[in-house]
Amino acid sequence: MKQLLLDIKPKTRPTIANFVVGKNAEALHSLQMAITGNQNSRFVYIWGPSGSGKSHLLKACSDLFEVPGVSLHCIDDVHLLDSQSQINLFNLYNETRDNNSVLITSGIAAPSQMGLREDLSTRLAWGLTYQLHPLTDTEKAIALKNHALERSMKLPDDVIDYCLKHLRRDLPTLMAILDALDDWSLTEKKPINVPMLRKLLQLPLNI
Amino acid sequence: MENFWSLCLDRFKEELSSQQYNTWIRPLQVEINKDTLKLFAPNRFVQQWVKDRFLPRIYIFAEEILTSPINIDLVLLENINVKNVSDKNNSLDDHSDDKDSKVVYKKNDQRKTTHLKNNSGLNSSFNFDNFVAGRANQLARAAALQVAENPGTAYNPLFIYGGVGLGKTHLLQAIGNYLKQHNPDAKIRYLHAERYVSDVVKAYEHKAFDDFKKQYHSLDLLLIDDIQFFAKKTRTQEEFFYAFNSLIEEKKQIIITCDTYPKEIADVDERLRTRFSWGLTVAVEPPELEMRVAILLKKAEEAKIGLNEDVAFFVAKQVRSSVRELEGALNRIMAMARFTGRNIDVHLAKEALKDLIAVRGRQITIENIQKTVADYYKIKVAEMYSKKRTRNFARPRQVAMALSRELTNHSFPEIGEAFGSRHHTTVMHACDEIETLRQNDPTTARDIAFLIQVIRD
Repeated sequence: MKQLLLDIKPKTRPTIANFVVGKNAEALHSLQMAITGNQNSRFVYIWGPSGSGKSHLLKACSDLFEVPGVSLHCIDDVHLLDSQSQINLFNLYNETRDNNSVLITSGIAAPSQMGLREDLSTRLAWGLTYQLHPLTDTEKAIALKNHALERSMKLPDDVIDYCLKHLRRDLPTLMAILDALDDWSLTEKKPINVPMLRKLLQLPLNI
Repeated sequence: MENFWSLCLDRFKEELSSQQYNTWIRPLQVEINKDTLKLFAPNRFVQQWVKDRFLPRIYIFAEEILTSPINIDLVLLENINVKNVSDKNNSLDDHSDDKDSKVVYKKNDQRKTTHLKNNSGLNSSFNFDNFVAGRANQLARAAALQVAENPGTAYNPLFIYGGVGLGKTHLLQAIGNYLKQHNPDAKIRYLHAERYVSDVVKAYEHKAFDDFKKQYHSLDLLLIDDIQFFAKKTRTQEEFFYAFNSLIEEKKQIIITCDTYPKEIADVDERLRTRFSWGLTVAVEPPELEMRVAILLKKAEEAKIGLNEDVAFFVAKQVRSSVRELEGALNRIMAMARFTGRNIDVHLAKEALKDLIAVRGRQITIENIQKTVADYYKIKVAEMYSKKRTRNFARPRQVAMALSRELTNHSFPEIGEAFGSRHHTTVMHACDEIETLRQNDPTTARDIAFLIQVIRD
C-alpha cells in the first residue's frame, strides 16, 4: 500500500539569499539598490532565457520591499504583453517616473529586441538593463544543494552529479526533480540515493 | 572582545572577493556589549544575506578566536530609525502611507492608472537649460522658446513631431516650466494623450462633461503629449475638437506632440488634422553623432561623473536610435563603475553595453551545432549520425558533442540520441577528449573558440 503524504513540506519562497549569484552580482546589487529606495536605481530591467531566474528575483524583490510612501511594481515577462497591456505598462512607467516609485521589469531579450512598442521599449532601456547570465554546472550544483537544505533533504553529491549528467540541466527541471525526489523519499520512507533516482526517472513525471 | 570584530573583518577580507566584502560586510555597523556582538544591517536585503551566508562563519571565527561563547544579534538599522519616527507622530496617515507602499507583483499586469497628485503635471527637472540642442532639434527648440515667451500669440498650436525618445516631452515640459516661472498664476496643464482619453471616459461615465469642459477650457496653456493615442477614439476627438476651438479662440496656447506630422496621423478626424497644422509644425530629428556625444557629456556632468570624450564617442556610436537609450546606456555604465570601483573607460563601456544592445541570443539547438561543425570541417551533416569511426568523421563529431554539452541544456543521453543513438558514455568520453585537446592543442582550442562564436551569433 502506498504511503499517503501529509503535504506539510515547507514552501520554498524565492528569496535573495537562495538565488545563486554566478556572474550576476551587479544585477543583484542594482536590484538591492532599487528595493531600498536608491534614486539611481528606480528602474531596472532584467532579461534572459526562461529558467535564468527572472521571476525568482522579481518575487524576492517584491517580498523584501519596504520603503515608506513609495510603491514598487514588478512586471514579469513583458514580452508576453498584448498591445493594450503595453499601453498600460507605458502609462505605469510614466506614472512611476512622476511619483518617485520603483519599477522592476523582466523579459526574454534586450528591450529593443522583443517587438514591443517603441515608446515602451525605449523607456525600459532608459533605466538599468541587465542580462542574467546562466549558471555553470558547478553553480547549478550549489543551487541544488541550497534548495535541498531549505527543504531539509539529505542530498548526496553523487545524486547531484547524476542529475547534471543525465537530465536536462535548466534549473526549473532540476529543481522539479529534486522536489519529486523529496516526495518520493518521504512516501517510500527511504533515503535519497542514485538507484532511487533512477527508479523515479522510469515513472512518468509531471514536470 | 573589542578587537574581535576587526579580526572578523580581516578574515572576511581574505575569504571574500572585494566586491562581496564591500557589498555585504562593510556596510555592517557594530556595537559590542560584554559578550554580545550587535550587528546593524543597513537594510533587510543585507540582513537576510548576512544571516544566511556569513553568520555561521562569524560564530566559527568566535569559537576559534575567543575563549568564551558570544551572542550575535543581527538587527536592522532602519528599524530603529523607523520606530523613532513612528513613535513621534503616531498618526493614522502614517499608517495608511505604509499600506500604500504595499508591493504589487503581477504577471502580465493590466492595471488601471491612478491619478497624479500634481495638478499641472509639470516635472521641474525638464527645462531649456538642460535640453541639449543640435542640428536635429534646433528649429523645434527655437520655436518652443518663442512660444514660451509669447504664449498664445507666436504660433498656435505648436505641433512638434518626431520619433520616440528624441526629447519631445522634454521640450513640452520646458515650455510649461518656463511659463510657470515667469507667470506663476498661469493655469498650465501637461498631460499625456492617453490620460486625456481616460478623462473623457470618466466624464462620460459620471455624466460630468460640464466639469470636464470647465477644467480644460479655462487653461492658459495646454500641453498634450503623443496625440497619436487619439486614434479611433471618436468621443475623445470630438471633445478635444471643442476644447481646441475654445482655447484658440481665447488666444490660449496649445502645444501638441506626435510621432508623425499632422496629415499622416492615422484614424484621427480630418477636421482635427487640419487644425493641428494651423500654427507651426516642427520636426525633431534623431540626433547626429556629435549631438549624441554632447548629450552624454551633459548627462555625465549632471551626475557629477567624469566622462572622457573617447568613451562618449564610443557609446554614441553604439547607441544611435533614441536619446532615452543613450541615457540608459550611460546609466548602466555609471552603475557598473560604482559597483566595481573601476574607472569609466572604453573597455568598461563595452562590457556594460553588452546587456543593453545584445541581440536576443538565438536558440542554440543540437541540429544547429551539428550543421555548423559539419560545415566547418567540410563533411556531410549525415556523418554526425553515421556509424563511421574514421578519424576525419569521429573528431568533428566529438567536437559537436562537446559543444552540444557546453552550449545547450541537453543531457548526455539526449545528446547521444541526437548523434545516431549513441550511448551516453560515448558522449561523456567525447567531452573529456575534447577538453584535453583544448588544453593541450592550440589548433583545436582555436577551432572551438571560433565555432562557439559562430554558433552563438
